[in-house]
Parts: sequence; C-alpha cells; structure tokens
Amino acid sequence: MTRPGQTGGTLTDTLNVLLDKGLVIDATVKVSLIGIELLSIEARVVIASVDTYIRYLEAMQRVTAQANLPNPGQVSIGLDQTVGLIPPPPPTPAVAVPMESAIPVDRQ
Amino acid sequence: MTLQLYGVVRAGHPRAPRTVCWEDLAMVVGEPEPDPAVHLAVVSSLVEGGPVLPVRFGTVAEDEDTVRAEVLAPAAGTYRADLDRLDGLAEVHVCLRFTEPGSAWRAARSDVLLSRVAERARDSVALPAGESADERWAFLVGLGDLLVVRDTVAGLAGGDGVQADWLGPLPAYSFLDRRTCSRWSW
Repeated sequence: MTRPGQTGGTLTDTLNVLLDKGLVIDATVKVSLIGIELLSIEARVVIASVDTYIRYLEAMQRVTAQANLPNPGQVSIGLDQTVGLIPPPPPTPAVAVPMESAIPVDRQ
Repeated sequence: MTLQLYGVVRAGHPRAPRTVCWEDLAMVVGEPEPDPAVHLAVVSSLVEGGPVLPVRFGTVAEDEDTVRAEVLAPAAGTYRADLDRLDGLAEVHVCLRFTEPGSAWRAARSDVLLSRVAERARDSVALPAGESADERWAFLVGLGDLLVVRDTVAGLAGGDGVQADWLGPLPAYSFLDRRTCSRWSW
C-alpha cells in the first residue's frame, strides 16, 4: 500500500493537487487561512523549498501577532488574504525615525 | 495558542492524536505545521479509523474555544451529513504514465486499464496529471476495495506501454463537493 510520504514526484504532484482543496472555514477574526496561496504556487516549483517554509512561518507569526492586538481587523480570509502573503513591507520604524527628526531641522 | 486545523471527524475517532470535541464532532488539531507533506500524512492516517473531512492546509485558529464556537458549531449539520456520506470511503489517486505517444490512444486505453477500479468506485474525477504522470485519476472507493486498486495497479506494472502508481488512502479531498474550493472560487 502506498502512503503519502513514500513517493517522490508522485507525492509532490499529489500535494500540488490537494493543497488547494479541503474545507474552507468561513471567515472570522479568530480563524485564519494563511500561507496557502503563496505556498501552493511555490509548491509547483519545489515542495520542500526552505524559502516557502520561512515565508509561511513569517505569515503565521504575523497572524499570531495581529491576533494579540486590540483590533485584529487585518486578519481576513478570501482574496484579501493574499495581502498577508506578500513579503513583509520594509520596516516602518527605520523610515519614520529619520522623517520625524528631519521635520524640526527643516523648521529651524 | 495557535492551533493548526487538520480535519473534522466524529468524536472518539480512534486514530486522532489530539482533538477538540463539540457534541458528536471533533476537530483534529496540532501545533502549527509548516510542512504540507506532514499535514497530508496526518489527515491520511485518520482515514482508516473513520471518515474525515480535511480542512484546507494552512488553516489556523486561535484556541480551542474558537474551534468549537466558530468552526464546528456553525456548520455542524453539514459536517455530520458529509461524514455520513463519506463513511467507509476513501480517495485514491491512480497515476498512469504512458511510454508510447498518442493522446487519443491514451484516453481510450486508460478507460480499459482502470475499468476494474472504476466499476467499484462510487465516484471518480480526472485531476491535473502533474509532471510525474500523464494521467491522474481520483477514485472514491470503499476501504475494502483498496485491495482491488492495489491489485489492478500491480497488474499494470511492467505492462506494455504503461507505468502505473497509486496513492492512498487519502481523505476525500476531491469529493467534498460544494465546500471544495479551488484557489479561484472563493
């Protein structure tokens, strides 16, 4: 009997077929579908990509962090979810700090 | 604590490692799992112990109360109906690779090659073949018919012009009907 995990190319193709499927839980702020869009696309290239894992983990950490905020309105399910899968935006503190310090300089 | 959701089963499922129960339903949960192959292995290992409705990979919930209140309770009726419908059934994938060219010849031939499986199956659907095969079929078969699939595929091995492989038992991903969503049909 063949089981998942024992075959190479066949398993990869099977994952590519099945990762898009399965029950989709209706959107709530406390239940999230993360990583799947990016992951399933990249899985077509290489299923065991370290990069995929890293991005998936990053997405998961962002969702966890957002869930701890008072207003976790950013967590959503649907096409909007793809927003959460785009690589993280450039760190805003690095941009904000010089701007704040630049304003008083201009006024003087 | 964030929980990865694997699938909906009946409460008391003998193969489920960790569940969150609500009435007669249970969600198999675990630590966040980034490896899709591991995820598939977990849900597939449940199939022989009873019907399982696989949750789409990548679905996480905040905590156990969330699973009960926002996942199991709202759709309990449809989950129960689907569990009953899929009781005793499993999905298997049969992959064919033809070593001789000719698409029309292929199509006619696959019907004949897999007729023993097809006539036992409750349902079947053609899947994207992928790179490792020329044709990939999903069959919904009874657990007792897994041996028929195995023997049929074994009988094709080394046959003239075709290589065959199969994968299963899998949860009935391809036969979940209306709540089965492709990436483009939210």
